Amino acid sequence: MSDAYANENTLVSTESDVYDRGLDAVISLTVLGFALSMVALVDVVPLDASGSALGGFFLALLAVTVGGVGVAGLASWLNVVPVTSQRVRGIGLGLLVTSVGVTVLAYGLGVTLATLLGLVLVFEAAAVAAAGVVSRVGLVDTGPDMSAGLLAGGAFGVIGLAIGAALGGGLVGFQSLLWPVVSLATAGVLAVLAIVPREDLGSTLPAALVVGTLGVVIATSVLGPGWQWNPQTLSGGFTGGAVIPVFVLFSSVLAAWSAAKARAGFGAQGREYGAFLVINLNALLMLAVMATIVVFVTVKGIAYSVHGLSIGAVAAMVLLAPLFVGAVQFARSPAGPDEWHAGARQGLRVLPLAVVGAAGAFLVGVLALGEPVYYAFDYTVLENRVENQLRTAVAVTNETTVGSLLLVLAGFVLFVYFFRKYGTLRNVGTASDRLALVRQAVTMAVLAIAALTFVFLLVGPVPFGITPLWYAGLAVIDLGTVAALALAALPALGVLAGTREASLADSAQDSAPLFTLGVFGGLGLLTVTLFLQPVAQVAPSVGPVNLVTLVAMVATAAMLAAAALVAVAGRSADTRIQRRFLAEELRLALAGAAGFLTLVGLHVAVTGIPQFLLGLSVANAGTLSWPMVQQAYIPLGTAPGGIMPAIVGTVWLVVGATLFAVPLGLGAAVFLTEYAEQGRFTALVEVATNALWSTPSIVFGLFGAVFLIPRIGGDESLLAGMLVLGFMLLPLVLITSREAIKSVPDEYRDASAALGVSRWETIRSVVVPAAMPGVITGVILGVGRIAGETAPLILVLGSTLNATEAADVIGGFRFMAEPPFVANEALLSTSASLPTQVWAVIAAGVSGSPSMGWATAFILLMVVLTFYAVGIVARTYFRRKLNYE
Amino acid sequence: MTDTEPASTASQTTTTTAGETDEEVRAEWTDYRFDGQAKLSVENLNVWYGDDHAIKDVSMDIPENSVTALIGPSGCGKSTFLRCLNRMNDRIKAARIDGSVELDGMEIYDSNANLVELRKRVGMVFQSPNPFPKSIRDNISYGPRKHGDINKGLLARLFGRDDTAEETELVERSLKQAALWDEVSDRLDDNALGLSGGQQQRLCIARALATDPEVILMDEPASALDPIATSKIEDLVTELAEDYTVVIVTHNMQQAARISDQTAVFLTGGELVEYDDTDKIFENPASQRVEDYVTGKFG
Amino acid sequence: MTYQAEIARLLTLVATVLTVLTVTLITIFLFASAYPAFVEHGLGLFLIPEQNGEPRWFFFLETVLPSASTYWNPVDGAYSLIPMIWGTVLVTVIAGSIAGPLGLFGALFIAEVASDGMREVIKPGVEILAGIPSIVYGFIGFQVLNSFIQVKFLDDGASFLIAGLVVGVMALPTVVSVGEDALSSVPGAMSDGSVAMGATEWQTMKSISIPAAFSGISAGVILGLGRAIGETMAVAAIMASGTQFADPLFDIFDANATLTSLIATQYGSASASTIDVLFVAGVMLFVIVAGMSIVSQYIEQQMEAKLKGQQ
Repeated sequence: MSDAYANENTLVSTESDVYDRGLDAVISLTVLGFALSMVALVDVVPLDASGSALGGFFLALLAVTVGGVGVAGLASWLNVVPVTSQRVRGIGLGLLVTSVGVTVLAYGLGVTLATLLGLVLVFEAAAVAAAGVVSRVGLVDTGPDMSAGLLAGGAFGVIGLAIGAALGGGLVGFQSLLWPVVSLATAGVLAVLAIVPREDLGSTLPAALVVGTLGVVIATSVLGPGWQWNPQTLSGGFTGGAVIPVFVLFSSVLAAWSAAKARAGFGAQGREYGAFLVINLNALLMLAVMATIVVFVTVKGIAYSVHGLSIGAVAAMVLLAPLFVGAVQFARSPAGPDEWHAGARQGLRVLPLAVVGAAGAFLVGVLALGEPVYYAFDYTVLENRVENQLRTAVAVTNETTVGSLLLVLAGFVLFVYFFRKYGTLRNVGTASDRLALVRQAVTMAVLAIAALTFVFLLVGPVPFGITPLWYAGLAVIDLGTVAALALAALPALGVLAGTREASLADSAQDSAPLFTLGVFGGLGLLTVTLFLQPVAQVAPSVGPVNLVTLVAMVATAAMLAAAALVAVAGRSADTRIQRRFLAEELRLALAGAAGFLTLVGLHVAVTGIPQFLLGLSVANAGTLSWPMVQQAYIPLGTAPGGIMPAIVGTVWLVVGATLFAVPLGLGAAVFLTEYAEQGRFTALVEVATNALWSTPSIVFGLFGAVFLIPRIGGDESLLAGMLVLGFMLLPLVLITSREAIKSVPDEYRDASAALGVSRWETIRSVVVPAAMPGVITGVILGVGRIAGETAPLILVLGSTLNATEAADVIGGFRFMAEPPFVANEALLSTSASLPTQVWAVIAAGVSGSPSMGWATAFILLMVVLTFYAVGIVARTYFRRKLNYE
Repeated sequence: MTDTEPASTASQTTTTTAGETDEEVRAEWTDYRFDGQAKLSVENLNVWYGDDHAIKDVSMDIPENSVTALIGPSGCGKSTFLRCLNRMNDRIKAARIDGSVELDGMEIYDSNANLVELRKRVGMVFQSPNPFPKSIRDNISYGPRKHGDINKGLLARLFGRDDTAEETELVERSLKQAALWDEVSDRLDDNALGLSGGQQQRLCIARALATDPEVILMDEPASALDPIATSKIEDLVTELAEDYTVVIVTHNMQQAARISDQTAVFLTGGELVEYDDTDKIFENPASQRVEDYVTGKFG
Repeated sequence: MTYQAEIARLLTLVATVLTVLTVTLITIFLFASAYPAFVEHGLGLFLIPEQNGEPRWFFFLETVLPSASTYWNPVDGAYSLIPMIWGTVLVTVIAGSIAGPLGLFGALFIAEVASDGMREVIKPGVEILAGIPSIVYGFIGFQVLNSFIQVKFLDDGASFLIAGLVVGVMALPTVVSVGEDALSSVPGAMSDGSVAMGATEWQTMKSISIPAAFSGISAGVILGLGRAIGETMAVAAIMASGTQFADPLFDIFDANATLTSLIATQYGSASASTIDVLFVAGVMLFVIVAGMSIVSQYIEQQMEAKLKGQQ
């Protein structure tokens, strides 16, 4: 073996010294330069800024750095996120030092940002070259290889070609044949400089040469902010404003790579550090670009889209309830080892809970105050080339009305959540024969009332003109609601009654059958009576409040009381099993409360009559007012109109496409994976669907416009849009469903078959449920994609600017005696949709309203990103579940 | 979803043959030291994977030029422990390691520790053979080439430092040491993936030897092999112990008894229960639980 | 029970047949609709523009293809797709030179460099970004970047450069995701083996991970390019419709329609014969992108087979 360059490294190297700290600072400086060049490219601070304007910017930058490094340092010191790496610490410290340095320079020298950046580059070049020389002379302990390598040499050659071309062009002009010679010569010099000397010189000197040259050119204003080069042949040209940031960006990466190599002592580890730093900088760039896109659209669109947004405090609380439950769930996840470090993480876990709690307290405060709270702001709208200053406010009002839809939504989400959490209470507690009898009776009653509803539905509320039957309906409703109330009250009363003989915990455990009966029986009875009411046209009421609503509200309170009792009981439970039973009861009671609350909303939604109780009210017209989403365009109005028709259109498009694609795709996936023989045919279908999935969407549009529209009839139509989007969604549903079904292990199928279960039974009860999460996730992601699809829609749906009417698909159905029996005007006419509306703003050119466009784009972005976020979260959740179970 | 319960700590009160508690047994063998300097010295090593405490406060000394076996039921943390000895756990980003491991008196968990140098000195062989998808020759010379000890290629020729001769010599020496030379000497440029499982594993051992290590860590090197290949590996391990310090993880107790000089027994929960001469562990262990384990009553 | 099973089998069969029919129908209809234009114009669809009586630039095609001074004029029945093909090529090249290297580095970052916590944030982040609708990109380009380039590059607005940049950013997540999947599917035991021998992580990536995942990464790049070629709305929004040639050919500050944006912008006012020509453009897109998809699928399969064989 050649010993000449075999590294005699020690296992533990010496503590870092001036060389290491200095290079850390240089690396920090390159990172700073990297960030500054991005900022300068988008003109956050102009390149020719100087003096106090520039100093102010650098002070802000310094504050950001101090804040960031300070918080990270504090976290490290507190052992929350311990930072042990000398390099990371060094860079943190370096960032502080260099930002102070550039700030002082900005104030002290009074130069422009461009000059300052040039000076920074010159400094970096000098530092890097010095590091190389120091290493070569042997003043520091490094382990360089014999050469920087052919790859580095080649890269420097290419850089040399470019710089040489620019240099040659500048010196002798592009007309002369000399410039290629200059270019080649520069490339040769740099390549030789990189390859021939030992690695420490070979990877620092050429870099220093390049960075230094660019730095000098920029610092001496040979290439200043005002520089322009506008070649006659091209329709564009180059300015200093674009070229300087690009040069600084590039030089920073080069200097960072070189400095990082030197910092890690060259050799294998030097190359690693250099490469990783460049990869990290690249990731930083990517993140910056992508975050900028989202933030930019948000900033541009949010003012317009929240114009006049206001919500009643109680309604806001209802909205907050699911979030609260989610925060509790987050805070409850296992807390880790019992250490100080874990304490900090626990703190992090309760943070969302605290935030939700604070928001809730704020809403209570608004109610107590008795006055709405406003946040008023101004923004500018550009419409028809006229700038228009608009004043609006976002408000939380002290109204106590809750929209029925909102209540149903929140209540239902909570009900589903708690019900999913709830396992079973079978065989827990003491069940008497009498209780079993009651259970049977309740089941019978529910079925009977459902049957009665059906009868009334068929023959009308006053059948055959016999009024007594109507009274029977009234009686049934009265009895049913009262029975439901009694059932709902059972759990709480049962627990309380039991405490005379046993402890609270034991009594609560004993009452388990009462919980199941109370929740399921009560909810069932009340639901059927609720639906009987409008059908039988009876609405018994107690005072101003409808009987059913009143019972539902009281039942909610009773359920909450039971939940509170169980929660208290849980604190004194002594065995683990008892604690578990009580937790189940708690979830069940909470599910019951949420269910009854949903019924209140449902009742109002069905009857349309607002209900008041104790100062609160539930009405169909809620207190959430969001003009952007809830209104159509208002021609010639003073307030900006909304984009409700576009939202409705997008919703229908998505619904239609999903209805078309999901059954077909899923069915085909089941057939292809479970029934069809795996061979040429399935492989061909797979390749074809994959190819179809990547086919440009505009091609689908072309197909829809020329094939579908003439056959469906009419002109551009919603139905054609649905079908075209459905065609696009179909391959994705097929692909993801097939993947999900394939990923169900064959062991499941074998095990099921070994038990003598038929193939279809196996598919239905084993394969499809196991594959469902994957299918759902795939569908959600696919829907997210087609919701934002524009190109095919312009061909089949046209683009409507400022639609004033939403497509009424449900109301559009007409039934006929002759084929095709069903017609729907709304489906056959065009509609607005979010993406085509944005296109319409673009197509309208200067006469369009960019503000409206930004707001639409913002809402479209939110809709699509929500689909994606839900899909990704669902996938992560299901994957974890699969991996851990 | 159910909340995960922390691992049971009931084992602390288990009584032993001598009527002592585990604590007392541990106090006895913790004092177990060797004549002279330990090659590897582990002090109070703890490992967490996320919230899972995988290694609990393990301390042990490993003597030079001997075979030390780590045995225990699956999931007891013996492989995790092994991976701590050359800092391979650094690659598992959720792992957190606390404590000290010294190689020849040098702390390997020092923040300035040179990982390349450490792994050169402490080689490793994995559970299933993992040769690179390259030729047999390139597999062997992979390490030295990455360390810059062997230079090949255009640049090396330009600089007049082509080490092809050294490489050939190294490949032959390493393959002979791993008892593989006779089987593959005529097809050194074939893809290593064409070898049989046992040959692949010996290639991996040869590959580890090529970087001239002082310690070789083996993580159940024979678990994926047939009996004949296994016995070849076992013979090889015994031979290697003359020049190298070998630490081997195995779940096969007969194997541990056959080839090792010292044995450390890990039981569930990442605790080192007993560590002593192999004979003593298998014939007269101090702990009842270890006796149950080695006699097959518990496992 | 068997009755039910039979119905289920039948239903899934019907779904399969319908799906296959849909796919076939779309394909056949596209080709059938493009056929008349092929017959009518033949090579006229690939007229090379003339300047000063001389065909320009495409000297390597001059012997094969005809040339004329009018190459897109629906009134005269002159339709040449060459300018749009060239526009597509320019946009794709710019997009590829952005998305390729950045995507590779991004994939390396997520698969090998980032810590677990970082990965859990960035990987879904990249996927979400793949979901930003193209019209939103187009709107940003139309509203902001077009004026940006006027200031910074002295251009008169729309340009290939901006369209290519935007499409490159759009294709980036595809390249990153597929590349990252390929890198992650390299068995961990392989890179463990390399690191345990004292190779650095970077050496391991260069010598083990990237060679093993090379085909997967290139599949990602091909897919990304396919998306770039098929991208419509961002291009249509940024570059106004046009049927002019870039002058000179490599002038990235010029603007013209691409194959996709030609369809989007010309369809509304197209006559029957123009629509036929648009179908030719559609078929070309379909064939190119489907071909790229099939190639990348083939490459990925090869890689999977190779890695499986190694275990």
